[in-house]
Amino acid sequence: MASAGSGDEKAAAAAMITLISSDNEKFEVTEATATLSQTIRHMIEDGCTDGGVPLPNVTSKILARVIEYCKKHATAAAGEEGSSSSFSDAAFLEVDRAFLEELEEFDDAFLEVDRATLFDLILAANYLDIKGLLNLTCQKVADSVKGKTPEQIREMYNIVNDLTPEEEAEIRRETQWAFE
Amino acid sequence: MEACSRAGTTSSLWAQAINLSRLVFRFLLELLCLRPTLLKEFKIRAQVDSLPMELETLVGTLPGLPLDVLEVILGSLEIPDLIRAGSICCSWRAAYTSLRDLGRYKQSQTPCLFYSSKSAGNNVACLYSLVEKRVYKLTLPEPPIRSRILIGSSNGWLITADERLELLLVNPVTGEQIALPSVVTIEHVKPIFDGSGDIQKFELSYYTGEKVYREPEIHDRNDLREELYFKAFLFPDLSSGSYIAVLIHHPYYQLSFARAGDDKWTWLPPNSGYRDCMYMDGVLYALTNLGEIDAFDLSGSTVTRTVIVGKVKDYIYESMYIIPSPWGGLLQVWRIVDIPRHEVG
Repeated sequence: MASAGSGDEKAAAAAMITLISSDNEKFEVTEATATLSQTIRHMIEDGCTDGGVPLPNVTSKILARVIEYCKKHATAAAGEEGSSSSFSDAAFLEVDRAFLEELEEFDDAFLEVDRATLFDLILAANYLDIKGLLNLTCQKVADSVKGKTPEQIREMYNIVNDLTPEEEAEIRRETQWAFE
Repeated sequence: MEACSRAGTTSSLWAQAINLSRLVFRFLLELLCLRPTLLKEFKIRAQVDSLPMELETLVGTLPGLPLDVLEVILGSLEIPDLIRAGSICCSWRAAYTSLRDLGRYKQSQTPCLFYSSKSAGNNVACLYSLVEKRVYKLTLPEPPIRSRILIGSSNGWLITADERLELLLVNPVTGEQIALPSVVTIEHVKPIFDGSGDIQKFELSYYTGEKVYREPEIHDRNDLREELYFKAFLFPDLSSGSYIAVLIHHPYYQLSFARAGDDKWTWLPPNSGYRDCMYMDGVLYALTNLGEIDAFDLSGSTVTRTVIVGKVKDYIYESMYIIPSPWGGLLQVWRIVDIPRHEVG
């Protein structure tokens, strides 16, 4: 990305937002990065971000990861916007494809985390309302249960079966075929 | 080949009564995963010191995820995985139930091959999953699935005709079954009873809304079943929140429809030669073998017909299909069936 340098300069001039994690660590991010979160976007629109944005549900460890995701995706979005006006269609498509491939690689690497971290990321994405991150992390969980038996899924995620025997019997009666 | 083209996808028309009481909301979890609209309020109330600690103990196991997140996860699974995931624990069950009962499950399904076999049994339908490369065996209600013919599959439902020529909707996923109006309520079909009051044969009348072609004929049950039904469809009915069944039937590929709860088929004259249908926003679009498209507005109590495309060809060789285009129009698909001349007739 040739425009990365100028992008950073632009970002430096842009408004910065301070995010404060549950363990009181402060993170300075650009508005473009922060507004991938709809929750924070609304707060900026409402002028509620002076003095920083406390995020009592997100630890510094998770917030750092979330910001890493938002930075990457905000840069990609900005790059796409820039390229659409300055490239011919063919060149634009080429750049677009490169962006998408790079983003995909980033997302794959980003998801290489343990399960506890994955759930923390899901909760943070849900709380901050970051659609892309929520879909990405939820898809990771969905992929992990495909083709598995209920017992395997419970074991994988350490879930206690709290269904009553009656509920279980009802499920089996309705859809026995899926369990055979 | 017919079996392949009619292989059902298993996405289900789970239009069931909304049962809000079954949604289990966990207040604490909702608090921990505040909706954006609540965030500001939360911020004003200042930080609750104990929250992060509780959060630490809750995360790490998936049941700690709120209902809407579990819905996103389960909502992206195909039906067999969805059913299994919905039986893990109460919170996963709640997500499954709300996806199902509130009609939020939209995941498209990889097509499955639907078939039956003597060895599996007369009441068993086999569903071969291309994704999992395995067979699911579904036990379906009477009459035996092997004794019926399949005349359509839409929205996860199979439309079958039994040996008495009666039409039954069957949902292979849930085993639910719904009877459609009787065959004898189709405009051109009259029953002929034997001494004990059972239907022995049928009289079929050979007319369209435009013309009487020939005298009625008497048919045996088995002969007529193959001849009478060409294709059937099931569409969601927006006006009632239920469904509309549409039938292309002989003689002359004519059109009839029935709404949920109707006790008879309603004939849609005067045209004939229909080969395919689709339904969008309360309007039924029906394509004929000559490329005509008739639009029937089924949203009101009286049906109106508008010819939106006239005859586009004079010959009939292709299999014809109508599909919505991504840009909002309609497309006709003509599939040439290449039959060498000497084999015709």
